[in-house]
Amino acid sequence: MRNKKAIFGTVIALAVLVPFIAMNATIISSGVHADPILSSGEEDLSLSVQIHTNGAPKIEKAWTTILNRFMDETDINVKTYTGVNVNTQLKAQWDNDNPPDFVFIDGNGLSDAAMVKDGKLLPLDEWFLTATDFDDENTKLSALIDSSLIPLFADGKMYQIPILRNTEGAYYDKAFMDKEGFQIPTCFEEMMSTASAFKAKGVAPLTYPGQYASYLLWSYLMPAYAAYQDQEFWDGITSAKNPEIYRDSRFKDVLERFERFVKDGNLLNDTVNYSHSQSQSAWFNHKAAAISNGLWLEGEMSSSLAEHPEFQMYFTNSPLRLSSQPETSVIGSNTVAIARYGKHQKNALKFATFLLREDNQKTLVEGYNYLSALRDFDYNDCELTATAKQIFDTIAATPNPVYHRYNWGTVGDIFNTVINGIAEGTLSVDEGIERIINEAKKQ
Amino acid sequence: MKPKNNESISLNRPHHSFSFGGKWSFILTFGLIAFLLYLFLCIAPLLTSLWYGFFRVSTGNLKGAQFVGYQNYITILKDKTFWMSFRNDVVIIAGKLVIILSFSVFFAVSMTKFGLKKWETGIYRFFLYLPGILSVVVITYYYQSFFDGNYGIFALLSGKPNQLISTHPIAIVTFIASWCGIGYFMIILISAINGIPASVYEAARLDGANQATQLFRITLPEIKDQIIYVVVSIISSSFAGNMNLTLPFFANRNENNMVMGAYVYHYANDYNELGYSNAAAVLLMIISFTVCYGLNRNLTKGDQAK
Repeated sequence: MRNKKAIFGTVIALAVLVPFIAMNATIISSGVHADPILSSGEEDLSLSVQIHTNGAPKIEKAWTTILNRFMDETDINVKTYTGVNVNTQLKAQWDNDNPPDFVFIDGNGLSDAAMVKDGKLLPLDEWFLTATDFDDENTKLSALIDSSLIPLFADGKMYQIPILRNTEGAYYDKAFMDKEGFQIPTCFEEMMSTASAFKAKGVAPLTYPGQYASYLLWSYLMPAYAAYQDQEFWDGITSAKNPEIYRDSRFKDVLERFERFVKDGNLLNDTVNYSHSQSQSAWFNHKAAAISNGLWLEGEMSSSLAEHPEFQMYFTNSPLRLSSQPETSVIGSNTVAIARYGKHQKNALKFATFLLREDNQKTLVEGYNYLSALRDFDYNDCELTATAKQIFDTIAATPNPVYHRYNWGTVGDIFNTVINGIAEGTLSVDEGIERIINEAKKQ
Repeated sequence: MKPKNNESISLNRPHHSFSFGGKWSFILTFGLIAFLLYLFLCIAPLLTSLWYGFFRVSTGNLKGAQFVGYQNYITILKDKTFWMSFRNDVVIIAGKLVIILSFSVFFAVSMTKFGLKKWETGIYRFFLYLPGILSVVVITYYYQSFFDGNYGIFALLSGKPNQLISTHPIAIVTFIASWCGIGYFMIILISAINGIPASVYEAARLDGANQATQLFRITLPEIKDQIIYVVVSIISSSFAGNMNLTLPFFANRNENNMVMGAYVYHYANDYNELGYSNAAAVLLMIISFTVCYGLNRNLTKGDQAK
């Protein structure tokens, strides 16, 4: 009997421990293999790509067009993973070092900083030095793209290739504003002086989705920091390398401006609890004059805009700057990356280069309503909406743009929490700054 | 083996060192597969979670991850947000217990003892059970509109905007979760009440017991085991299940509306801190196990004494 119990107990223990050990041994050892070699050999006609699309038909169509074009011209068979949830769906493959070869860095469920830190992305510095245009071997890619668009990471290496430029700011319905006689503010003083006119007619001056407070952060606050036109200060706050930078009086000053704006009752009621669509709906129905958002807004609201042609979407740079400061845009880039453990890296790099060809840039610009990553891109040939043209003209006319290049890890998440806390009145500016500093120290 | 002379077959077979007949064949055939599945699907992930909690890791791959020992656990136990989440869970559970128990008992007694017609009972059961089968997406979307500070029912009735979602998040979640649970537990109690022999009530009526006396002296004591089941079910499902409502409902996640399950999700999904979130998941498991075990032991103490 005792022997039977011992045998039974041993079997159970093995049944529990063996899979547990095996699972973790697999996890720990699966990353231990050599980097794939970027060498030529037997012709490789395969490629897998991961492209997050937000469901907008124009964007889906743009990528389909480009992929078909690529397959026709190169005979490479591309296996495509796309969709709104593609990043989450493929996460396990990245974790097990069996990723798609190429990834478009966009959407939820994907952290480029985490991927760089975990060695998932291929360093591209050496490649970029000699990379050439897809059709012209005499033209280097580095001459075509503004290097300020290339994101920087802690180790100083290049991991991503910019394919588009974007920015964020404040959106209004120009037709509504003109009809009601409202002035569109361009600086903080005007934000405060025009607010009462909005509120008198039951319109809140501003709404934003509390769910994505980063929209407000990058539409209003960060351009206000950029307006100081101090590169060292800007690099400091966006890289979080030195936490003490957040004690700078300028950093506090912008937050205090925001706090004053909030305390005057200028945010749409309950906006802190609003989702993406709730804030857009409130703005579209003129419950709020302005919404903070990015260049994707027009695409996301395309069906509503088509049903209401009288709605005239109008973009301005952040009005949170002081009147004495220059109007400033913060330019970010949409990028692509190559998987370090992808099996078809050469083809992935070929596809990345292909995206930077003029015709494909045109397709992407028209699909996203973003700006091209190419320095000398001619937008006159693009089929753009009136809103997109107004936005592009505004950005082109803004002198001295500042580039968002660094990744500050989880500081951004805490900053979003701080913004919502100030908006709700549950957090003071000083408390918010301490939280940001504490988080910066963890990076 | 055919019984001889009306002997009954006994399962007390002669003892063998390793028999393939009788109970062992039954266990091996039907129990082993289920047991192995349980080990692979429940125990192994639990142990993996425990292991991940000892690392600082942002992906599912431990290669190169920093071993931090108990640091994640210590950090969590010192984190004010974690204890706020625990408090929110406790408040929601307490609220659900009061609301679900009182309403499900009331409706169960009403359906069985108030002389309703069958079709009436059917309609009430349907509408009361309906919230329990609705998708959580539908529920949260509906209630986000219901409680909207600008367009919701309270804003419309009062004529003034409000911030109920910000100021009373846990009360709202308690209300919604209770509304979803009443129907399901009501059905269980109806079955239990229907199982009480009618002769007991007849005897009570003959002895002069009125409806209230019958309720408190017969009905409730007779369904005590089912009530204990309802209590334990609510508590055990709530610790992990509260986040199913809070995550989609609250666009802006903060310590005032966070529950422990959402805390785990928040650090895994929003911060990519998988080691930290796994440690939080283990702590959540320990807390809920301790509470459920202690509760079950106390509530069934009387039965054990018998």
